[in-house]
Amino acid sequence: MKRRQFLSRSFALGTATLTPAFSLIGLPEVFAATDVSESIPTTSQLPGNDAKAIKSLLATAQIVVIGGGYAGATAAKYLRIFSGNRAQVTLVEPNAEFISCPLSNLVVGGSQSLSVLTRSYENLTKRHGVQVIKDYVLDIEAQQRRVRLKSGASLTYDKLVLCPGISMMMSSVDGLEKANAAGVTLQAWKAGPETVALNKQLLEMRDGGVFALSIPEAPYRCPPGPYERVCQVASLFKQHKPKSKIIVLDANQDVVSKGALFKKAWAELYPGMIDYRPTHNVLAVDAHSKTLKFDIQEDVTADVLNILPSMRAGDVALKSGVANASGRWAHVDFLNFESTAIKHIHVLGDAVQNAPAMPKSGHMANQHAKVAAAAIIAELSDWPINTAPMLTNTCYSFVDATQVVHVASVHAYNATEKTFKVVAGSGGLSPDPSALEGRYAWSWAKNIWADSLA
Amino acid sequence: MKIMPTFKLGLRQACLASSAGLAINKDNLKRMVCSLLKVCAGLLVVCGLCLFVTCPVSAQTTESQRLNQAALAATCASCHGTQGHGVPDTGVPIIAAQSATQLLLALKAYKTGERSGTIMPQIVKGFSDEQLDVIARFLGKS
Repeated sequence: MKRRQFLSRSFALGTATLTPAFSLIGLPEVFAATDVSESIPTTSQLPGNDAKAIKSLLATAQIVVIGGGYAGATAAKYLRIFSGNRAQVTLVEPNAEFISCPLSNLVVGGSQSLSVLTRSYENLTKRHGVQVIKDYVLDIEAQQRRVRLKSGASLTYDKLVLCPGISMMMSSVDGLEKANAAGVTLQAWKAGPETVALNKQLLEMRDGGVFALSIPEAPYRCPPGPYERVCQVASLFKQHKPKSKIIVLDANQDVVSKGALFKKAWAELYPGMIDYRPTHNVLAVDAHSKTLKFDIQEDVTADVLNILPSMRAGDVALKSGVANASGRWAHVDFLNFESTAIKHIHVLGDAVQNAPAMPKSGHMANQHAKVAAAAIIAELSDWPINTAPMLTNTCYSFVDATQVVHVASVHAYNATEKTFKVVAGSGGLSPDPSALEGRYAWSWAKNIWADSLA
Repeated sequence: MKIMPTFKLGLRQACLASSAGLAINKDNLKRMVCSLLKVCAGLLVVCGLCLFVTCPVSAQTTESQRLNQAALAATCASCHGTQGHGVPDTGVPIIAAQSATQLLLALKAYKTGERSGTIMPQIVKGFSDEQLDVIARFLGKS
């Protein structure tokens, strides 16, 4: 802030600064109250204050959002909405378009194409005034409150919203990096070219071949859900390669989510096709012989290998020092999702060290973003932060091309334990797979894509 | 929703009384003194200034509460669209097209089990009646 501007704002008390009323789309009465936040000096505006203190005035603060997935895109949009379009928001995303991880297993199964799951970022700019920069964040210089970009440019921020998603811990499976480089294994856990490549590998496999999917110990990004993926590959095999088999090698003791529903679907829709092996932690993969090794169990050889190693927060979370939970995830203050390691960095989505029963889902990331956006706008307006935020989650899983099961939950902030907890009596599962829920799953997808991006 | 710390409520009451030019009788005075005792010295200075300008804190409270209401209602937006304006023809009701009264009736019917559904009966049970009321009034047509 320039000094002259600062002075006029700091001493505006006697004249009661009034700014024009602003409105939310379709709700003109909302937020129409006179804005007076600029008329009260805050500590960060007082003379002699640390020059690096954040600009508490909403209109002058620079908010940078890193990552344009469900968390980042939603955060950028809602920072604008909740501020009546006054917050200055820049989104940095390396990909040209948004591709949804939820529903991407349908591309693996061959019933959908990637283009159906792809959305543009242009409405964030056109409709919401977010500046979108196609670039990759190399590092965060927290002391200077600066973000260094691959292009050589850098951005300064007052508030940073970090949504880096996940990275694969390739070293957790011996030989995986080499097998990936040789084109033998892939993950297809970030929707994109690998998702299409896995479908291609399955279609090119001989009938009577074996598909092996390994699942790491929870927590991992979900969706894409591993058990849904099993259904989708089985659906493809049933149609095109009926003699083929699926071996599921799960490091967990049992199916982590919707267990009874998935097991019933496997038995009824794909009898004899799926061999589920719990407590199978892959230690190594041999790219040449396409063999997986475990600590005590016998080796498994397959034609198509989908090896999912352990996961952690995206690289920039580790580099910047916010990944203070086992060096993998970021602990946050759940009232505003601010990192417990570094001030003014708010971490959202899969990168967060979860609250109990909080999934690393796109829906949850979209919900994190709204709590954080409201808290940031409140802080920059010098208002108290909501002490009772709420989150919901819904995850739909396709058991074939059209039938779906869901799991839903509601999470309320618990002030005593300083975390989100599932509200007792809320949430639940589908009784059975249904085509009706299949239609609702598509409805959910179209609406959450619009809510996050349009 | 009680979201304001006590001291700010106290400040607000004091400001409202002074800016509205209320006659200071015994009861009023008692209430004001009680409120003001909760206010720290720094805030008293700001409150004093309220006598000469419009009271910022009361307007601030309203806006801050509206932000919290918007954030609460935004939990619905993942499935029902931003501010209830869902994508048309996807099979999910466009809740912004309904009145607040209709919405609240529907939400309560899901909660009691009077109305069946797939997701909604499970989701509404996570919200208090007060929260459902805020959501219905925020998203419904007035």
